[in-house]
Amino acid sequence: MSELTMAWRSLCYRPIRSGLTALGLALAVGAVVALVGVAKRSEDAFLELYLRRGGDLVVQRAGGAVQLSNGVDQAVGDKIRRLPGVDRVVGCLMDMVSFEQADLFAVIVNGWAADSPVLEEVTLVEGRRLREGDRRAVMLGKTLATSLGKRVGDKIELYAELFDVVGVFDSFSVYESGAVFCPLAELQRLMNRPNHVTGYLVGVDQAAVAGHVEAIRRRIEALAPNLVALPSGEFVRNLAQIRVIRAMAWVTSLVALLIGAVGISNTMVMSILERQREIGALRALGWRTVSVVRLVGEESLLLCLVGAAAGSLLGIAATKGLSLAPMTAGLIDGRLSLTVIAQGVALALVAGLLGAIYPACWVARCAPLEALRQK
Amino acid sequence: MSNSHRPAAGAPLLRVDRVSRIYPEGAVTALLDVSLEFQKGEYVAIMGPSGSGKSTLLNLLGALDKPTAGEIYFDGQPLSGNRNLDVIRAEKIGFVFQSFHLLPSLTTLQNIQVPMLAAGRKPCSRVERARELLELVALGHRAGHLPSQLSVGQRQRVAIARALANDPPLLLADEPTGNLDSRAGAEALALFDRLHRQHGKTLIVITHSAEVAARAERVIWIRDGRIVTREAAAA
Repeated sequence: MSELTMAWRSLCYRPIRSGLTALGLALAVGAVVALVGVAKRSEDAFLELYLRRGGDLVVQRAGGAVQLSNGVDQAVGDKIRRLPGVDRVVGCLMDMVSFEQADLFAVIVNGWAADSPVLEEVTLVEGRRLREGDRRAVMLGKTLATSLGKRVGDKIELYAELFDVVGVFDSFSVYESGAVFCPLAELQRLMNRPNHVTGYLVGVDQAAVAGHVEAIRRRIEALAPNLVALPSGEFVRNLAQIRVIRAMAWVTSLVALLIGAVGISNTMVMSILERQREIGALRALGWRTVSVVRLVGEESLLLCLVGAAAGSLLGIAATKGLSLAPMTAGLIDGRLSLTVIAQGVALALVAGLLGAIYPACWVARCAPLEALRQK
Repeated sequence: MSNSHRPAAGAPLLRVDRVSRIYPEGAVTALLDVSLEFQKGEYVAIMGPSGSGKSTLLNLLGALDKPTAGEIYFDGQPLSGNRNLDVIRAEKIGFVFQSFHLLPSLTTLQNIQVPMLAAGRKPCSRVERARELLELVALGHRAGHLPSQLSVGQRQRVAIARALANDPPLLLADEPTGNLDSRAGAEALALFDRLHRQHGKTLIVITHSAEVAARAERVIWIRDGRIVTREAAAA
């Protein structure tokens, strides 16, 4: 038998109280894993999308916090294309729509020119791709098509107009698989933003020497006033939506963990107060103060580890569930990184240590004789 | 058995030198100017009415409390100012509490190992020693039982086995038969006799029971915090 065995058996001796505390912490860790995981995965998925679509730089109008409200004149795209070292320029107009009858409230609509390479890069599952001259035609991402129950030949209503579904596609990106692809000119008409795109993805010639990207970036920004060109990573990290999601995820998670820490502290205090005579007996039997304090810490950490393990599974399940739920299927990627799970576990352990501080201090101050005399 | 408080000859295991214990919160004088000696291998009973200071004396002898005045010497070393009282309690003193204080979440085998953890014994030798002690108290067949699954007498024997875990020279017992029926009490006393005679343990037992005191080599009478004669204690 070791101290750890004693700590474990002590927890198991009061299964309901230990179980409820571990459950509380599991919910907190689950919230951390799910919320922070979703935020982190959103950021990663955005970055992956931008990079795989060949965007070393993202060009958009400066000064707007919300990307969708900004616009760049299409003439700028032509100018960027003519810059030396620029390999690829993809313009896109973006908007968000809802399909309330299907409980989908945030569906991305991408307006692509018929010659956009993105239309070729997605995997066609059914029907055809958009082409020059298409009017009132859309392609649906596979996830969205499933959620809406639409197939090629069906019609969907966008901006109070009916569109033909001409193709269904799949993509590595959850955002594209849950999106509507619309001819650029049609979306410009519907959004009343003629000759404008939300921004450009600019790919730089890979053979270019280091520092070349920075030079191109400065040249792009010189093309028009209020134009900003950011490396994709920086752009994604600074996206207002991502920052809000990240901040909210952390705030919510930290509040949950704080509650978890208070719960653990409460459990440990109750446990210690109930076992004052046990503590006194341990001290009388020669246990040093530091050993008893360590025992309290070990109990707390074991409780947290159980909560963290259960919470991680809960977080993984919740994220997977959200990624499969029709309402959020096109917005949440169900994959979680090990880093996020490790963060959840680490925070749980911190909560455990915080929760153990007060009972440990009580034990440290407790004289053996006083403890033995407690009723 | 004698009822004298005079020490026997030889180097004492414990020497109590003009010890007083006053509780300032209640201004209660629990012990006043007490001097005693306990020889190695002695079996001593401490008797006296409730509130006489018996438990206070036992707590002081067991390094659980500190005297307000005077000094206690363990094996010639003063306890006051000793920063390693935990080590002394772990290695030199075995406590048998009236209400046993076994840890309810641990089996008997595990309970006996608790003092050995404090003494830093190796895990394999802990289990071996705990099994030996369970056999000694005739509870080898109860190794995996929780205290709640044992009779009161069996719990007391586990508590005695635990007190012997680190083979201390001194055993302190506070009303060891106080919670036991006559049969279990007799078993516990027989065990004490054996520990004294065969294992050479120094036993100091607090008791109200004349039967328990009759087993001791010496009885110390205490009243109002002072060592007194038997007659004075009974008065």
